[in-house]
Amino acid sequence: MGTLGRAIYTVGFWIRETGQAMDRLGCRLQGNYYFQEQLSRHRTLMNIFDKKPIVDKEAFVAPSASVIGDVQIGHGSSIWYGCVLRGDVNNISIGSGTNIQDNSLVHVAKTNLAGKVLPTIIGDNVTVGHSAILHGCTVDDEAFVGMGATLLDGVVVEKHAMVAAGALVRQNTRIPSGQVWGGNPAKFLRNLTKEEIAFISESAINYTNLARVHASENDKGFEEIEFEKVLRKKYARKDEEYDSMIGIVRETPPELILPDNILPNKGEQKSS
Amino acid sequence: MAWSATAIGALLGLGTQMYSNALRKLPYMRHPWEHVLGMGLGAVFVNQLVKWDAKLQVDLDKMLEKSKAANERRYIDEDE
Repeated sequence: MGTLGRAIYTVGFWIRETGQAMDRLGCRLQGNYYFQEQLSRHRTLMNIFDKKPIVDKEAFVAPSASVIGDVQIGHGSSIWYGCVLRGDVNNISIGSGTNIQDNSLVHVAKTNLAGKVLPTIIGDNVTVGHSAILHGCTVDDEAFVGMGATLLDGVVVEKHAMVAAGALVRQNTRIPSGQVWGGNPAKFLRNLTKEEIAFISESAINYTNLARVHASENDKGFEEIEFEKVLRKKYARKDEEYDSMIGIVRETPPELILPDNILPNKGEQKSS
Repeated sequence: MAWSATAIGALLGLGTQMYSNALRKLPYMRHPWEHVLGMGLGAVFVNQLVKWDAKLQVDLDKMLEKSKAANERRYIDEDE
């Protein structure tokens, strides 16, 4: 979209604004003032002119997260509550199976001292902990960024590398594969063990499954939730001994069984 | 003639509305329907102005004509 597209967009803006004004006028004439009610205008996915986020169908984006501008989110990724992914001046791309946990901030840099334009690229099966700040950096596949870490412009976290919690990684640092860096400024601490490397991909899978549960729960409409509330009240667990004494077998209705596939062997326990 | 007056008037109205928004530090096109209103008012204003000006010219010519006649009468009176 070039100048013509922008012109059409602007004219559309004028027409819509006029339409809204006419609607408000109509509401005033009818004597209902509900349009004055102040509600949050938060939109989970927001476009800036023609830069709009592209989110895979299977990805989970929490309703309180903000994904703004030129952002690409791949298959099975999850963006948790309160995250901000702001791709306004450059693009953010997130691979598949990645989780960006609550309150994290992913941004991009337009200008910096070196004069490089840096997008933020996050690979597949990456775990980014709570309240991490990723600014114009590259995180390769199966890397791990701990909680509260800060990655400044031009940082590269290689595959199977780990940034410890609360670390501040300085500009243009490259964290090599299989190493843990931590502190402020981040320094090499030690090498990762085999188990820890295995845990990174396991954590990604766990989060993908957890995201699926959250996605299905968030999908529910108002009536469905109210119905479940009533069911829960009705099927509230009585004392099991009491139940067995008077010979009652209670069955949980299928609506109340959570899609509990977070851990692989949890589903079997439910059915027994 | 009337066409260009309308066009100039519409531009004037639009400009005034945008200037008014700019003075209040609003975006230029806040309340876009007011711009249409402004354009209409401007067009009517300039058309009326042109009309009034033409009429004024005619009236003034008439008055000058009258005073010319009066003056001429005076000259003739003084000559005699």
